[in-house]
Amino acid sequence: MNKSRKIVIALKVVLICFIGWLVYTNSSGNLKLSASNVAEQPDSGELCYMRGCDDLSFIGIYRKSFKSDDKALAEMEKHNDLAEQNFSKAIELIPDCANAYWKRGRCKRNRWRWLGNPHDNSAAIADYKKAIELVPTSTEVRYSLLKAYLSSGKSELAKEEFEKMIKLDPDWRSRKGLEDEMQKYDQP
Amino acid sequence: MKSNGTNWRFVWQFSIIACVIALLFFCIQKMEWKMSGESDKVSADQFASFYLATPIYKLENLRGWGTCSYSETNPTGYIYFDCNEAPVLVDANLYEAGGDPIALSDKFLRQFGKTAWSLLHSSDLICLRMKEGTSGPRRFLLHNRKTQLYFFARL
Repeated sequence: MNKSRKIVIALKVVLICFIGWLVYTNSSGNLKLSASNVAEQPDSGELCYMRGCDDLSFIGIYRKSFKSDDKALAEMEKHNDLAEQNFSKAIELIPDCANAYWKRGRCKRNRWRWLGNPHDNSAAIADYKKAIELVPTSTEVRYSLLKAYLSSGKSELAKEEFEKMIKLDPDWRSRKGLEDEMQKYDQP
Repeated sequence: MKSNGTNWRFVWQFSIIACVIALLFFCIQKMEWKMSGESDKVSADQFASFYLATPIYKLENLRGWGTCSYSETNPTGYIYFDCNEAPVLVDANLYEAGGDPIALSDKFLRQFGKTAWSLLHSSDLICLRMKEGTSGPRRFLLHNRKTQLYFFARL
């Protein structure tokens, strides 16, 4: 066996070991989700909320892993619906849970993004508004509302939300390129 | 051992050596991760003493953690504790009612899970934050008025 062939075999072995190591490290890493699989206390609003959050985390993982896969999209829709159901249940049991309204709005926005039904975006706006009614100082929810307004072409309302956000927390001016984005709507 | 022109002895030996080297690299990296995590870690007691003027012995069930980066002198992190009276914050005059209780409670829920469930009752939440424009970083105290459980974060 000549020297170059030996090197090729050696490289293959190293490559296999490296791939094995990569697979091992990745499989023990990110897919650990929090306590959604707790079956006790089925009527606890808090538990329903946590389950919903876990379903949303699944969507995040799927989105990162398989961007253009139909099967993954079906899975994401399934988890999105489950999350929405869990948040609805949480709202039923904890009527002042602004977090659940916010996250349910996010589920509706997800569905709007995937299926394009404008009714979903309007429903998301209603949920965000309810969350703001409960906690008027929440800039994160206002940001979500702003995005939903922009999606439905209501730029005036989006600008109003932007002003309120800046008033509540001036740091938002520079975050996520929001000011640049809003300036686009100022131009005639 | 030699067949079809392949030196199997060499292949086996090299495979074993490669496996040992890969394992060694993996162990070293794991140790580095562990060491880097521990060297910056701040205990809940230390973290609380940075930001709370209330003596530590008055804070029951103090849990959480902080991390200290090289660029900042004050640690960032999350703690919670039981307290019979309202805790006194360091630089209390720089705090005001405000902040985003929804985003904050979401962060605490992610950190502490079940312990932070009281934060889901939004209408009972009281949130204090460090005033804008102060040189201090973003500090928040979140509390459900119906419980004695307080959550503090420095982001």
